[in-house]
Parts: sequence; structure tokens; C-alpha cells
Amino acid sequence: MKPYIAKFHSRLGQPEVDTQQYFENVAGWPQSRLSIAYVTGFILSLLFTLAAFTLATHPALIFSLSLPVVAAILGMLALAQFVVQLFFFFHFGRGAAARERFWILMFTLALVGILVSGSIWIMYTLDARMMPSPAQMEQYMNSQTGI
Amino acid sequence: MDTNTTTREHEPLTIHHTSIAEQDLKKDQTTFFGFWIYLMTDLLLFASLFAVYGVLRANTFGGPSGADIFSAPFVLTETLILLTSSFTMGLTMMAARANRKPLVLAALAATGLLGLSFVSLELSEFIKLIAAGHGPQQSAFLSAYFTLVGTHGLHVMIGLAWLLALGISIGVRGLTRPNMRKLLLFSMFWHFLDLVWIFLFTLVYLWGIL
Amino acid sequence: MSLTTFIFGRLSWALLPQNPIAWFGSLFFLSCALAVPLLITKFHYWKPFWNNWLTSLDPKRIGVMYITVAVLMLVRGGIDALLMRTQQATSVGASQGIVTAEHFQQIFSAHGSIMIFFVAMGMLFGLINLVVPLQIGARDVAFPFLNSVSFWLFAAGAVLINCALVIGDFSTAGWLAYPPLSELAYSPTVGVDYWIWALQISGIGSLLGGINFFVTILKMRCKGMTLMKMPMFSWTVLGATWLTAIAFPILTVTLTLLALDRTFGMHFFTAGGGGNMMMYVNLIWAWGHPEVYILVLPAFGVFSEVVPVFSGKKLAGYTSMVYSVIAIVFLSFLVWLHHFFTMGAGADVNAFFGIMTAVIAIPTGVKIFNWLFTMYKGKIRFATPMLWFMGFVVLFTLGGVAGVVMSEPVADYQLHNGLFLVAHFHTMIVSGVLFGYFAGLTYWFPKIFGFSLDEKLGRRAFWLWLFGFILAFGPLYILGLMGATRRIDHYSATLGYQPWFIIAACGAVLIAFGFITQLQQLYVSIKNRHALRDKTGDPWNGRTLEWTIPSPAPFYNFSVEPEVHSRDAFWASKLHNKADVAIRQTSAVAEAVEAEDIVLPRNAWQGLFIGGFAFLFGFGFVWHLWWLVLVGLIGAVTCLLTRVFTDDEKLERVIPAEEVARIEESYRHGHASYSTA
Repeated sequence: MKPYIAKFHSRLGQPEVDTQQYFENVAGWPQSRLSIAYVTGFILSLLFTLAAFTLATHPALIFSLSLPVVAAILGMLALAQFVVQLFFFFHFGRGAAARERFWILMFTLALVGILVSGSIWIMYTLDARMMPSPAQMEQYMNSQTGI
Repeated sequence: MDTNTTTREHEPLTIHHTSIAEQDLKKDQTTFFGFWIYLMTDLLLFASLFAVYGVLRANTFGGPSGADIFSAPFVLTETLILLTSSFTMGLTMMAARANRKPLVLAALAATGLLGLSFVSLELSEFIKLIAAGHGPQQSAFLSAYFTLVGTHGLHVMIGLAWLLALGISIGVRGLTRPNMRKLLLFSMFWHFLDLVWIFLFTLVYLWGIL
Repeated sequence: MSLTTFIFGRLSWALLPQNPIAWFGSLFFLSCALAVPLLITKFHYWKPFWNNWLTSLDPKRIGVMYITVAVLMLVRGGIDALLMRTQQATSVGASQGIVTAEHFQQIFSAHGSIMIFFVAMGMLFGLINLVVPLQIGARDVAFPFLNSVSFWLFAAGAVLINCALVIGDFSTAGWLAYPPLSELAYSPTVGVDYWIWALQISGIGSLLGGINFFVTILKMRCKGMTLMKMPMFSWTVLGATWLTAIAFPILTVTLTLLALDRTFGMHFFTAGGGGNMMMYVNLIWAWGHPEVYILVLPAFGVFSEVVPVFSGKKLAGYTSMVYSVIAIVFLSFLVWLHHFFTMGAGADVNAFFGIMTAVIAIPTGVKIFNWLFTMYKGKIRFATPMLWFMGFVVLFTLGGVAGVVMSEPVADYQLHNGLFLVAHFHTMIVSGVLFGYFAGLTYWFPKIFGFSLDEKLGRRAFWLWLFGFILAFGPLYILGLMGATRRIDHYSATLGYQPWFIIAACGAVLIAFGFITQLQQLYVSIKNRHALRDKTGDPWNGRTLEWTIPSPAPFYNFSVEPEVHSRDAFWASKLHNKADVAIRQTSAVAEAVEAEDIVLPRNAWQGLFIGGFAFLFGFGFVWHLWWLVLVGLIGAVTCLLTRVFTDDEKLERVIPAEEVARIEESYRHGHASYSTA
């Protein structure tokens, strides 16, 4: 019985890649106005950055806020800029592939959160319970000759 | 889709053919996805370093703390440089989509120069600190600081080497399919580095200055 | 720095082995290392060795190489175990046993490191390479070149850790090298550096391999195979590779920080300078716990394949099996503190992690019940793979219960770092991971090599391993409850430990005989390979796609791409075509040979060389040969660049359909053998 054989077109005949479509086909990028995404992302990031730096260097001057609150606001500004850059520079777009990458990122961020917060919780309690007191630390430092 | 599916009635196991064009597209999509997964692992790498920094930042062992050595204007300069380089990277991608090779090379060069300035600034800061005796060997805080920021800087340097290789490849061969793919991956890498920097300048520098 | 220091770093003649056992180890390694090139030269095998193995990007070849290295490392790790058992059985009261305390510490450190990083991870990646592309109906992995690099980095790490046998010593700090013992102040010799770099290099190989197979499973399944139609082994590999991708960066960072402390005088984990050594323990276990799930999940996957086939029934509760894999993957990141309850974090922290540890036993229990439900009312065949499962299901459940005992922090305060713990984790790893991989290797051996393994010797090996294990580790549970600490090289006669240690040593000898029987099985099977030939490609009456192709699997796997319309599509196809559900005679897909042009990657030399340069890099770092470090770094990067700058077209080859058809025909006429596949 004759074998059933399927042939492919020769690879060497492949045309040059269509650059207009390439990022859309491979990465799911939106076809319309990439420029708007990049410019918006850049300006928003700039604003968040400048806001953060201003706040950090003049906390008392601007809002008379306590340090932890300022730290929290800076953290939120960072998160906001993170989200901005994620959506405007990474072009998540629509489609199953984009959703897949998004959820993998979310899962990774969840694990990052667990690792960092878990480590800090554990190390903080260990520090409180197991580390030497400042007086003991001072004594130790004074006795050290080179470790 | 120009596939050719042979089916028999309700047969659970049949045959499928994929054309070469489809296979090529699939390969590029797979590489793109694979690079995304690599970026996830890099996220974990930085997360571990952040965790270490978070735990050790108070351990100055008599040496300087963050407030003593960080300078807000300096870090702001570095941040703006890196952010702008992310923007020029976006311009590179727009030029690539429009198939305008000279523009791609120009925007890529701009990205590279900005990246180089960033790295130089960072290196100069490190050298200044080490010369003043505040190198990573002085305290746990400094070890953690140098390693965290240094790892990011090392990623940027590798990115610059990649950028150079990519620029040469595009200059010599033009915007071929492999080069488009590499541009895509590189742009993700470069934007990723700026993402990490956001948390670096906030959690390390700004919180340190507070 | 003098010229001699620059060229030779910390090397010195004084660092060659110092006692007979160490000399034996050193010569054994060197002779094995020399035997390979000598034998290849004797049989004029260099060219085929280069083409078919060293530069091959075929996952089936890479898989065989992984398993070969893993088995060789099992010999090393096993000899370490025998030495330890002998020492602990004889070093009582006045007697000091057969090795010094210092040497004993190096032995147990080497034993653990080698078994986890090179035996278990090696067999894991070996099995994954051999099976996953076949199971998902793919012709290759997502990144074949990366696959080769992963293997050669793994091999480089294996060679590096064995160099400690020849020159210098090994770490005395256990398989995880806790500071401050592993810091320069308390371990000034090269031992810990060997440990760091062997693990770092092979760890990067593992990380890349994890990324590779995670993407392969998600993106390269054949048409119609949705995730919920995928075989369970591939599901567990998906989970394990995700864990690898997420957990190994933590190891990379931790090892780097320890290296920075030791080599550049930083203060992450040092006693002085503000270092916090508890952070090391925290990080290394944040990696370490996911690591053990990386090892055991695919073993569970093997059993999920073996039990349905040898019970003649479909896997019970497929959906719950999938969800339990997902649950285990997520939960494995929430339990790591149970490895250091006693470090002092306090009741709140301990309670949280204790509860999570107890919870993670639940999805595993779901799996055990599903396997038992699969067997219930099935037509069970007790072939060797099924025997491994039976041994597993009993021992693993008991050992798992011991784990739940220790998940309770208060109980753990009594049991931590004692022999009860050692018995528990060996039960998990030997009866879980090792029995699982043995079952998998026996099960898939015919597909890869074209002939089955000898059944009789397989059974004998199983019984030796089973009774050997019970004898070797049963006493350890008892010793642990009596209060015995782990890693003791000498103890007082009044403690009453010795009888138990002697029984344990006998068990270890039985295990050694079991392993020798496996080697004998391999030898006999190769000798009788014509009688044991797998003529149909489906020797076990299988259910999944890998059994639809001839044995040994052709290098392109599938001559035409399959398309599936249900779970266990091959089994469904057998039922649908009303074929005798006993062994079938022809391929499931068509009567005539069907073939198409196939695109596959060409061989690549860079993987081997990157591994070689990585070895030089590591060796240089260990001995402070900074010029060698540079050579290694520049060499590896250059190899990478040559690959990166090669045109896509030159990296592939097209196998014309006529060639594929010819190969398929040769199977029909019984002319295929492993070397042509």
C-alpha cells in the first residue's frame, strides 16, 4: 500500500516578514496607535516618579504626614507606576495568549508576595525573639577583631 | 487556517497537518511565551534579593545607613534616564513595525546611550562609596544594597551587550523575522528592567531617605 | 600576588586524599572518568558518540544521558550511604569506626547533595525528556538547544562535585550548608565552595530545564489535547516545572550570597558585620520545600500512568487528581517554615505553618485514594512497575503519617533533627521519588530502547529494595523516638543504639544488592534484547499517545501529527475500532504508512562546550584561579554568541516525507534497532 505523504512548501521561498503584522501575530499587540500607549505610559510614569520624589524629599513640608504613611503612599505610587508600565509598555491586549501571560504574572506576583511577606514576618519575629539586644550587640562589636 | 484535518466518523485519534508558515508562527509565539516565563523567574530572583535587603537594611553594624549615603537628586536622574530609555525602546518598536530600519537603529542607539549613562552613574556611585570605605564588606546593609542594586545594574549591562549585538544584526541583515523576534524579546527585557527599578528606587532609595 | 598564587590559586599537593577510603574514592572516580574515553577509542566510537550523543538535541538522547549520569551518581551516593551505615553500626564506645569525624561529615554532606541534586533531579529530567514530548504528541521540546545546555550544565556540576574526591575536601556542613558553619571562618577550606558551585551550575541547568518543559507542555500539545485531556504524568510535570521555575531562582540567590560572603568578604550570613544566618535557613528552605515537591510530583505522575494500565481501568477521579496537583503546587509555597520550627519564630508563626503543613497532606491523600479506587475491581497485572507502586503506596503512606506527626510544632521540638526525621524524609524520597522513577524507567524502557527489561530480575530487585529499605529505615524511626540525633559519627554504648544501627546496616547492604540486581537486569536485558524485543510498540497495552508509535521511538517521534478527541485517546481508539484490547498488532492511526516532511533541529556542539566552560568557571572559583574563571566565562559567552548569530535556516533540517516513510516501513519489517532510531 502506497504511503500517504504530505509535502511542505520549501522554506527558502518564504517571503520577508510582514513587519506591520508581526507584533500583532506573535505577541498579540494591538494594531492601532502604539504611539498613544508609549506616550501615555511615559507621561504617567514621569508624573508618578516626580510625585514620589517630591513627597520623599519634602514629607513634612507638603502634608505633615507621619513617616509610615508617607512610606505607604510611596509604595502605592510605585504600584501605580508598575501597573501603568505593565499595561502601556507591555501591551497586554486581548486574546487567550494575553490572558495566559497575565494570569501567570498574577500567580508569580502572589508567590513573590508570599515569599517577601513571609520572609519578613518570619525574620521579624525571629529578630525580636532571638537576636541580641542593642547593649549585647555593642559589646559584641567592641570585642570583634575582624570577622 | 490552512490545515488539513483527516477525520473519520467519531474516531478518537486522527491526524493533523500543520503548514510550515503555521509552524514558524507557532515557534515565534512559543519563544515569546518562553521569554515571559524567564522574566517570571527573574522576578523571583529580584524578589529574593528584595527580601534579603528588607531583612538586612537595619543591620548597619556601625557603618552608614541608607539616609547617610543616598542622594535623591542623583537617584532621580538615574530614574529619569532609565524611564526615558524605556520610552525610546517603545519608539524603536514603533519604527520596527513601520519597517523603517534607520529609525530603528537610531532609537536603539538612543536607548543604548541612555542605558550606558545609567550604568555609568551607578558605577560611579559604587566606586565613590567603596573609596570612602563604605563597600559591601563593611556591613550587612551595604552587602545587601550593593548586591540588589548591583544585580539590577548587571542585568542592564547584559541588556546593553544584547542591544549592541541586536543593533549590529539589524544593521547588517535588516528587519528579518529573527531580528523582529529578538527585538520583541529585548523590548520585554528592557521594560522589565524599568519595572524592577520602580521598586528599587521606591523601596531602597526613597524609603531609605525617609 | 605572586605568579604562583595567580596561576595556582589555592591549589596545593597537600590537598590530595589523605586516607585509604578517600584514595579509593578518588581513584574510582578517576578510573571511571578515564574508562569512558578509553572504551570509546577502543570501539572506534568517537564519531557516532559525537553525532548521536554529545551534540544531539533529541530529548530522547538527552534523557538517556541524564539517567546515565544519575545512575553513576547513585553509585557514589550509595557508597557514601554504606560508609555511613558502617560507621554508625561500629563506632560505639571505645571503637572509632572506619572514618574520622571530619571525614564522616564530608560523607553525609556529599551523600545528601548528590542524591538530591544529581540522582533525583537527574532521573527527573531524564524521565521528563524521554516521555513528555511523546505523551503530548509533540516531536520535540520548545527549546531544544536550551535542553542540551541544561543537560551539560547538570553534567558539569556532577563532575565538579566529584573533583572534591580527587583534590581538596568537601563541605562538612550538611547537604544545605547552614552558616555560620559554612562561612569562611568555620569552613576555611574549599569544601563548601565545591558544594556551592556544583549546585549553582547544575541549578541553573535545572532552572532552564524547568522553563523549557513548562513551555513545552503549555504550547506544544498536539491538536485536540486540551489540558483536561492531557495524561496525568504530563500534568504533574507541568506542576513540577512551574515549581522549578519559581523556586530555583531563590536557590541561585542564596548560593550567590553565600559565595559573596566566602569569596568577597560580604556579610549576609556571617556572625559579624550585621549578618543574619537565620535568613539563610529561611531562604534555603523557601527553595527546599518546593524542591521536594518538584521531585515527588512526577513520581506521582508515573503512578497515575502505571496504575490504570496495569489495572485495566481508567484513572479514578482525573479531575480531582488535576486539582490536587494544582493545590500541591500552590500549598508547597506556604509550608517551608516546618523545616525550622525550632529556630525560634514563636507560636504564631509556627502554628500557621504547622496548619498549612497538615493541609498539604490532603491533596496527596486524595491521590492515594484515587489510585486505590483505580485498582478496585480492576484486572490487575503485577508486572514490575505495578510492584513498585505497591511498595510505594504502603511505605509512602506510613512515612507520610510520620510527616504529619512532625507537622505539629510541639511534637517537632522533640523530633527535629533526629533520626525520626531522617527516616521520614528517606521514606518519602526512596519509596516516593525513587520507586516512582524506577517504575517509570521500567515502564517506558521498551519505548525508548525497543526491548523490555527482564521481568524476573526486575521483581527480584524490587523485593531486595523493599525489604532493604524497611530494614534500613525502620530502625531509624525507633532510634529517633529513642532520642538519637542525626549525623552522629560516634555514640556511647549505654545508649542502646547499636543493635538498631546494625540492622540498618544490613538493610543498606540489601539495598545495595537490589541496585546490583538492577544493573544485572540491564546487562541481561541487553544480552537478550532480541528475545525481549517490543514488536508492536505497545508492550503493556497502554492508554496514551506514546504507545501509538513503534519502539524504539523514531527520532522524529510521530510520522504524522496526531489529533486527539478524548482523554486516553489511544485506549478510546482501541475500543472504538473494536480491536482486541490485548496487544494490538498494527499502529492505531492507519493501515498504510503515513508520513510528511518533518522539520527538526540540527545537532549543536555549543551545549557541550558551554558545560565544559561552566565547569572551568566553577573550578576556577573554588580554587581562586581567577584567570580560569575568566576563561570559563568568556568561553561560555562566546559559544552562546556563535549560536545566537547563526541563521535560523542553518539551525534546522527537513527530513523529507519519503525518508520518514522508509523508516516507518523498516519498523514493519522488523529492521529497526536503537542505533538507527
